[in-house]
Amino acid sequence: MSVESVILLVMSAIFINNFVLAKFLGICPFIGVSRQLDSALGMGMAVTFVLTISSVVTWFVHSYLLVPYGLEFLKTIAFILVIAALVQFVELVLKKSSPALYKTLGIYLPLITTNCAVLGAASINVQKGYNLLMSTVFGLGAGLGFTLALILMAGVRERLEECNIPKVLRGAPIAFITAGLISLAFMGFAGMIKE
Amino acid sequence: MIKYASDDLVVSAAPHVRTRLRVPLVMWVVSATLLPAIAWAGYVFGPWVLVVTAAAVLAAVVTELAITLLLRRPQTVSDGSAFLTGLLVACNMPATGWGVLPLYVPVVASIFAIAVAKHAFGGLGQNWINPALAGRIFVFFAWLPAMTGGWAGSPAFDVVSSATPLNLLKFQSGMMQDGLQAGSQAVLGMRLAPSHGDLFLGLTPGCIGEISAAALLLGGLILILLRIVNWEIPLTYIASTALFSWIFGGLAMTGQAPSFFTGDPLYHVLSGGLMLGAFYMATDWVTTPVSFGGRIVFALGCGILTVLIRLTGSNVEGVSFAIVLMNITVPLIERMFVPRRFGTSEGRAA
Amino acid sequence: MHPRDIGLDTMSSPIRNAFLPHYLYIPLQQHIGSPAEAVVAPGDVVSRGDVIGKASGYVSVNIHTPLPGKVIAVQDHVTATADRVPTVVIEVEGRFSLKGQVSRQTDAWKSLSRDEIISRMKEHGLVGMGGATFPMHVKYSVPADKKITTLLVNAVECEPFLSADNRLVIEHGEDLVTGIEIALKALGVNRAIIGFEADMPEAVARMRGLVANRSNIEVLVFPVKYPQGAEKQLVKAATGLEVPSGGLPLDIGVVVSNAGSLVALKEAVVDNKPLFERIVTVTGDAVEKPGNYKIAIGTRVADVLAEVGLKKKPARIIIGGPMMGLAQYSDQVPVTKGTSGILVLSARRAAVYRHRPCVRCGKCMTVCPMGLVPLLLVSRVELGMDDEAKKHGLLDCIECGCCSAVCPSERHLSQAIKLGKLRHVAKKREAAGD
Repeated sequence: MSVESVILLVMSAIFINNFVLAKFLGICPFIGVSRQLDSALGMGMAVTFVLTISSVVTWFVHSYLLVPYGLEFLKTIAFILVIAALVQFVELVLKKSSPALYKTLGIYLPLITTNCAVLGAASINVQKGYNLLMSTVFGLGAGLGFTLALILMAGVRERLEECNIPKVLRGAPIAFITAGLISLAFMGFAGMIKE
Repeated sequence: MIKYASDDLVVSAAPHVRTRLRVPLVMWVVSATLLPAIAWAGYVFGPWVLVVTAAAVLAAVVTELAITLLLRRPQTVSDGSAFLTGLLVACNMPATGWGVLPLYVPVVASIFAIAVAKHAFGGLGQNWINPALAGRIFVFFAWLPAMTGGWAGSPAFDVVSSATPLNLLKFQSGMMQDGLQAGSQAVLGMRLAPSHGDLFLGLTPGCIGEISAAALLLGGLILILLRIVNWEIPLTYIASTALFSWIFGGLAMTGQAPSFFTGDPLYHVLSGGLMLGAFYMATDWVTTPVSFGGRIVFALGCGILTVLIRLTGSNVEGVSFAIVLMNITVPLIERMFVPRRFGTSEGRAA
Repeated sequence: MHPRDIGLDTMSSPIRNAFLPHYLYIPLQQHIGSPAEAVVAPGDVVSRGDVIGKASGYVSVNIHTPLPGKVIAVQDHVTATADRVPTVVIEVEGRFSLKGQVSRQTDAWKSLSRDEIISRMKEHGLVGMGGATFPMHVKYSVPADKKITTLLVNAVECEPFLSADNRLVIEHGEDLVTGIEIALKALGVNRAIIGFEADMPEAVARMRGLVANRSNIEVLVFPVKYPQGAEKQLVKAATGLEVPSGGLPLDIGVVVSNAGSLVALKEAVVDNKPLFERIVTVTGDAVEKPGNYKIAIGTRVADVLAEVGLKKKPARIIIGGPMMGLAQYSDQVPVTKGTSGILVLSARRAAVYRHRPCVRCGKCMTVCPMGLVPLLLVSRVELGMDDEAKKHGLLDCIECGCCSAVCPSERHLSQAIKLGKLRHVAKKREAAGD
């Protein structure tokens, strides 16, 4: 596994197979926390953090627990449990060890528990048969892609605040239209990296 | 001495003199400068081009009218922005022979442009995405075969149909082997790549508004001289596209050893939608940064993305995607380029 | 911005004395600060130069009558900036006394002390004549903690079309030099810079000739550009220093005075003549005889127009210049100490602008001399986000009008920013008072 393929994997996860804009995972926080740039950045960092760690942990759970005992059919439930527990645990640890980081990420961490992007990354790792390094890198790339999408969305939505949007479309509808248009634009990246 | 009454006096806020440049004037002038390119396409590829253009413009204007009536907003058809959007949508439609491109494609593109990309966000000045490009991309994915097949040859000139200059580039780089037999790939790649002169004059298959670099260059220069369009975006966009295609263009070619600095920048600059994009799309006031520095960054981003998509993407043409992708980043770019406020050491608070 | 090429130039029109009106309407508030108190009553006979309004408080100045006559009323009357201002109405009659009639060049003033000069300013009703009308004695009473190094004389017209300062320098150059010397003495500094614009070559040559043997007075010529005559822009051009945001020129050691104010200072100190008349540029496409007129303060615009004549039906009467002037609903407004110009436009030139949506062309940002982003400021003001607007520099706006003038969507940018400022002031008052 070369450095080049690692870079390509990250790039692919950020631009071409962006979790939000191409795979439509994690739409809930994408719409929910993209009103302001500051909170979008915080959420993005928190998701990247959790995605990376959970990719590692679920890889271990899958390779050393589920596979040896033939329990792959419990994959989804196991991953959900692991991720939920992990998030809570990370929250506790951060609160104790790094109050500054906790303050930045803290309020977003509980939200991530139910973020399907985290589960999605874990599942894709298994599906594609990524090894530990690839899983970690993929988790990181997916998180960065999520952050990018969130920041772009937040930038546009901050501008929408000043727009004279028709009443029926204000709020969530225009957010979804915006998300759709951004996603359409991201299709421009299609096919850049062969998988 | 002329008599007057106090009622004759109009009270208004200062300033009482203004420059003459007005939005409707701008829209109509921009539209007018596009006409030569479209007329040329009509001459080279036949009258269907003009039918498609009329359909796109009509759909845009009618949609604008319908929406302003529906939302009970001030009528804005006369400001020319819908007309121009329709015209730009048409420019992004493939020039085909009579009846080949179904008319619902430009019509839907125009409706999408006006209704979704523009009026959903509040109308003129409020949209963050270039409406015409949003419409184009929408129908591009909706009717991919119609948008990418059926390139017309020219009844008037010796233009061979079926592959645009950028398609040829893809063939050469071996990225489009799937759909083509090896033999025809070689034929297309080796023998039919148009000369720079043909590209400049527009004697090559392509979209309605993009084929003739000469006509677009002329229109663009007029707009720059009239101060309607800034010079920094077209210049940076075209220059960066040339630079990056020169550096990286050679890497993607097959049949030679991949090496840097062997690309053909002129081919890249003159082909595809670059001229149209650089002068008419990337310079749209509404969806591009307001500051000089921001515009440079914006145009640089457009150039990089255009070359990236052309050389490595599965999409043949990168201009529309590049511009729309950069449209998304405009609010973020604007944050980086805030003028220094007089009497302070910093820009505005972020 | 160069909003100058409109062909209404009066640069070469010599100053002419306007005729005498039958009635004077002299407002008791012509300056920033508290209004003067009337010291005359109906029936009183006054002669030229008499005090009719006494300064009330520190930031206030005396008001004098320019012409002899009989006070017929003290009543509310319209002015260029307000609906009802206490105004002394005088029916002009009687004979001129010689008071303040003769212009002299003497050195008698050199025996006056700083304080005497400054009290003369207040007594003789001197205010900044560039338009701000800030009482001169307040400006020249520099707080002890500020160190002034330079007197900057503003001979740049504050607005396009106006040429009163240009003519003043050409025709009253010696008076200006004496005025500068008096001002330097009042400030206790020894360095003066006179700033001109490049399109005033005659005035520049005249002034250069007059100060040729004075090493402490420097003549600088700046490019033609609006708003070059705005205080902060002029200070920057002359000294290279920027007045800090929210500060005054004296924070960086500069006092700025308009050329007209300094000529008035000379007349007050040397000739003992109060400020009761001023040079006004009267122009516009509806005016038959545009030019620079010396007009008695209190003369109503209607009387001025009767003299200069109209060749077209006026659609807009503007007090001040085209960029910042105030359109009037009545021709009964009197000329005051701050009236630098009267602009009369016909319907052809007086377009009404439609406030259309912003198309983000960025032209307002490019022309803003204060480095603001008007399009953002205005959208904040319109959305009621006043605190955000303040962060974007709402209070730094000098209301020069450049943004509105270039806006292709005809937006009332300058007006919206003024509105935001007014709202800010109102809120502050509310928080402080009630």
